[in-house]
Amino acid sequence: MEYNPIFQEIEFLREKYKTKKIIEDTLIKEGYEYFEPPNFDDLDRFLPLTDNIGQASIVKVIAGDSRILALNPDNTTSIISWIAPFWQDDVKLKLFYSSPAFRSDKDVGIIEIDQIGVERLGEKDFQTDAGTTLLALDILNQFGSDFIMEISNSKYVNGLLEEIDLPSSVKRRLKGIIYRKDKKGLNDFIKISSLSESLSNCLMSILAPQGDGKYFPLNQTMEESLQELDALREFLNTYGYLDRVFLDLSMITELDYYHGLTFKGYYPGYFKEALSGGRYDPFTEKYGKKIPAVGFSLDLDQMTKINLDRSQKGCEPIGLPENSRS
Amino acid sequence: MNLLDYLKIAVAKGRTERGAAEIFKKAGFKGYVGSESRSLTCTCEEEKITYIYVKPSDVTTYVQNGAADLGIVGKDMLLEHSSSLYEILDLGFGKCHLAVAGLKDRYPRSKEETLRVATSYPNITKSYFGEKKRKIKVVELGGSVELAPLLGLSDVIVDLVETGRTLKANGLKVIEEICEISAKLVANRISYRFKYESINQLVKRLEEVCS
Repeated sequence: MEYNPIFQEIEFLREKYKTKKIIEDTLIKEGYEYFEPPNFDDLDRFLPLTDNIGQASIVKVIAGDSRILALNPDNTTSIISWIAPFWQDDVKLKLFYSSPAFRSDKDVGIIEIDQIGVERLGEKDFQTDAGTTLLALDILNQFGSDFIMEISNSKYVNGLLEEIDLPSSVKRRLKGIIYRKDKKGLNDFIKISSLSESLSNCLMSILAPQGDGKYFPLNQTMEESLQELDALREFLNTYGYLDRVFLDLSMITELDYYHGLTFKGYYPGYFKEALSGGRYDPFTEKYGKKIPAVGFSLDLDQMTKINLDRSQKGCEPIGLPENSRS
Repeated sequence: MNLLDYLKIAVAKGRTERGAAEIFKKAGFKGYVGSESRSLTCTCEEEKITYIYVKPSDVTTYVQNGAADLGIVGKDMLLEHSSSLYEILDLGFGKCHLAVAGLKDRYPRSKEETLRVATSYPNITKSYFGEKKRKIKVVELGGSVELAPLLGLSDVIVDLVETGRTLKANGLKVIEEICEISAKLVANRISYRFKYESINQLVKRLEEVCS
């Protein structure tokens, strides 16, 4: 088997550095300040996260005093766990980080995921959510305009689940069916659970493939979530991004800590999300303080590959956006 | 030929593939050859579809990683591999049950005793008995699992049951049904977005013949 000569390996690292620099410079221009998430923390501090990713996927390290530490499994959680004890209610922060997260995988071993991300803390209004989504779109657009962003609002599915009187384990199963867009599974679930016609219509409409269906909100929460999404789409339309954005109310993320706006970005030919984010205020409560919080992270390795492919295709080098959005 | 214009479909070889061939033919798809040609892939330029014939247990791997946009595979494989693929269409063939079966009255009934379960579906088995808080030992076998209780290798089996004739022929009977199984058309979550138009057209054509 032949391997790349060393200069090609160095070239990838050079490109990775350039990619990182482009994104970091964009974030600095938008008024974000650098933050360094701690690499190690007591394993207990990540317990709220293990509901979502399972304890087995956290890389554990035993310290000299026999304490079990976790090697940063998720940058957002590390930042919130660090900030929450000192949080003051009148503070507004715009932070960015560029740091690896680590996961344990039974097939691969330890996975290092190089991430760049932003966290906007202390602000809970439409402008903050819309501005964060726009920043995510601007960054994706810098690397190629053929991307797609899925957006959703988790309050819609959560509002719907409030209407269904079933044990939480059954609701979890239902979430799985929605996540897989399994129409047959959903039909069977509706039949077995003898759900009302309004609930059935509402559930089936969630699977609308491109978010182009008619929705049937059943309560205030669901109504609000649709209004928020409409306003967001209108806002993004003024920046010419509407044709890149698809509504998907069935979107449920791996880290089920988002509450409200959620979004994911993809490029054609790369079979992993390049960007994911959303609002997660209730998750911060698990660290002792409810902090308004919204953010996103980018997979740096994927962004580097996209950048390399661009240069190989002879595309113009990426520059900074001309004007700051904020 | 721009590969992004083509749909790649991973088809599970064997029974599923024969069922798929019938449905694709009924729906008027041209160029569906099937794996009997010994070639592992087959492209129909007119339909802009490439079929890839793989082992049933590999379909989810191909689709999950984007090597194929779509897959045709039994629900049993999706459950076993905890797939997060979109299950966009139930193809209506390959209907059967996943069930626990054993020799009549010859398996331990106390929850305190460890139940030995022979199966080709270790993950589904662990999850099913885990929910029931039943202690089990999984005996993983590649096939002919019906033999295991007869030879004392296991107390029960977890396997697909279609007509029940194989079970009956070996003196076994269904003890509990776990879930219904049928063939599914699955999609890679990202392909589904980028190739939505062609995937949607394919689904519409198939829907007309598999209802």
